[in-house]
Amino acid sequence: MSEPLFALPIDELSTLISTGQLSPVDLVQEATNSIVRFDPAVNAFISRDLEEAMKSARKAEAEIASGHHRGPLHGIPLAIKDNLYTQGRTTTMGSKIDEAFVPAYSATAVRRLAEAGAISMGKTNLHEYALGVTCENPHFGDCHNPWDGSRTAGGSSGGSAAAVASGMVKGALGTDTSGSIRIPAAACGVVGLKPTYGRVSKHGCFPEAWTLDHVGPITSSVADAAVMLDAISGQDRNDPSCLSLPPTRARDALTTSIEGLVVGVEEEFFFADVDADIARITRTAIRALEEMGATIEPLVMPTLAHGVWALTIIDIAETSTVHASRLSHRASDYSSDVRELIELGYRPSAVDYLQAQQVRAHVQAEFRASFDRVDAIVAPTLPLRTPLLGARTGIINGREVDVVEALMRLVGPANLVGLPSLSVPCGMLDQLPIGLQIIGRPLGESTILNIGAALETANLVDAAVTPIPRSVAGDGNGTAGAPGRRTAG
Amino acid sequence: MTENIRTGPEGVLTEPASDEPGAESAWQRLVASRAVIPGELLSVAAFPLLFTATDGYENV
Repeated sequence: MSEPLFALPIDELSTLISTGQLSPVDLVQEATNSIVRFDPAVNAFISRDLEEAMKSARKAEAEIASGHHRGPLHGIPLAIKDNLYTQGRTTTMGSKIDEAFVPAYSATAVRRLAEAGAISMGKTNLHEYALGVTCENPHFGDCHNPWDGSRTAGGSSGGSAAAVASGMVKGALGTDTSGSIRIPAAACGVVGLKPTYGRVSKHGCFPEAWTLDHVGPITSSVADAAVMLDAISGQDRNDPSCLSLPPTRARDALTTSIEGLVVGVEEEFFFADVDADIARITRTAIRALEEMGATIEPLVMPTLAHGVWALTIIDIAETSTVHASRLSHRASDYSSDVRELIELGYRPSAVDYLQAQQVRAHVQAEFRASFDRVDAIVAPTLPLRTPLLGARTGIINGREVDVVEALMRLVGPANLVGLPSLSVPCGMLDQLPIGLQIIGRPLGESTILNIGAALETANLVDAAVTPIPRSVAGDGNGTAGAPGRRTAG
Repeated sequence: MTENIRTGPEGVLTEPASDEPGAESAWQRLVASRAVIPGELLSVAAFPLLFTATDGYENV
């Protein structure tokens, strides 16, 4: 069969579109075909807007033909996590309680994508209210990992990551409070970027924990993530926590050269209790960075381990505050694990919450000191193999661990202190993808994107091996139908 | 309104569901991890600011 259009990165598609060699109609048709074919098995979408998307594609085609090309996202099919408000369109938050909620306005990130000409194919599945990391959802059905349908796609932005991995869309918006962009990105073998806190407006994003929440892109390549970041970032007076900064120009700044960069590796926290094979694959990726000209610098960060407690206390306390009214009126309409989490947030005292903030200050200071010596810190994204759907415990090096706590452990510190963090595929283990986490300085998105783009050129993941819903493909070898990967140039 | 066992007739939460085994075990793990945090990390007067001070950092 011919190579899917989605195998091309966004900027190449954009060039074809802007020069009239490709119509957005063709792209949306390809997205529609993939959604119709794969989504019954993957369940990446809560709601689809296929007819509306085709109308938008025809409108974009006419607009471009008349000489008005808006930029790299014009005519590109994307998806929106269903906790981001879409004006006039149902936004469920993956919940029964808000299943009929229709916002009067769109989230700033959603509006900016629309203004850039992107075409929404629909709203993606998530763990209820983004309060979980497995995307198991009793109200709208579990999201399945495209590489192995018996496993979690990760969460909470599992639908966004699964839709990108399956070639249903070129990119998707996710949200990340304790890893919810990077966990599913790693589990599904795609790229996930949690920007610096305040880099992207949270206006119109249903909150989980307001000092930890971030909005960011999930894509099939680092270059595509840079394109989406450029479109959604920048000051927004509707979000008091949004930084007074112009939009990023990360795509223009993207190179694959990391010569002279200093990359930090911290062992005591980021490599403790990590599956031995995942640690081995991660170290192979780090060696690849070194061979491309980066200097590897060991780091000691003893406060990091205590950040897990601080993050959890802050997360559950703020979450329970957000949900206090709903819990008091609709407690029985939450799924059991989400309700349990919200009720857990009633247990910490005010002293616990404030002491967690004090620990947060120390972790922040430790990161600041580390970034005096290094340009970025690399680590595994996840310490364990992608769990089976429904599993509450997993195994790391023969030891039983809590799945939820393990999935969040290594990605949480970047949320606690608001640092940008990227997950990039860096290898395969038992036919499942493994992610490398790259943490940057505040506002250091370009640096971590460059490191990610460099890693893509190392070809640690065979681009010929692609995810495909095995229940659809039947052969389980992942060789047909779904898109390949292209690295940034 | 559906009255729930953990809410009063006015729909006000009376107390968290302390009988939930998952929540209890999660809370006990949190208490245990809190116990091993060095005191100096829990006694600073300063409160954190998130990374909003951008001086000295790149802005691309």
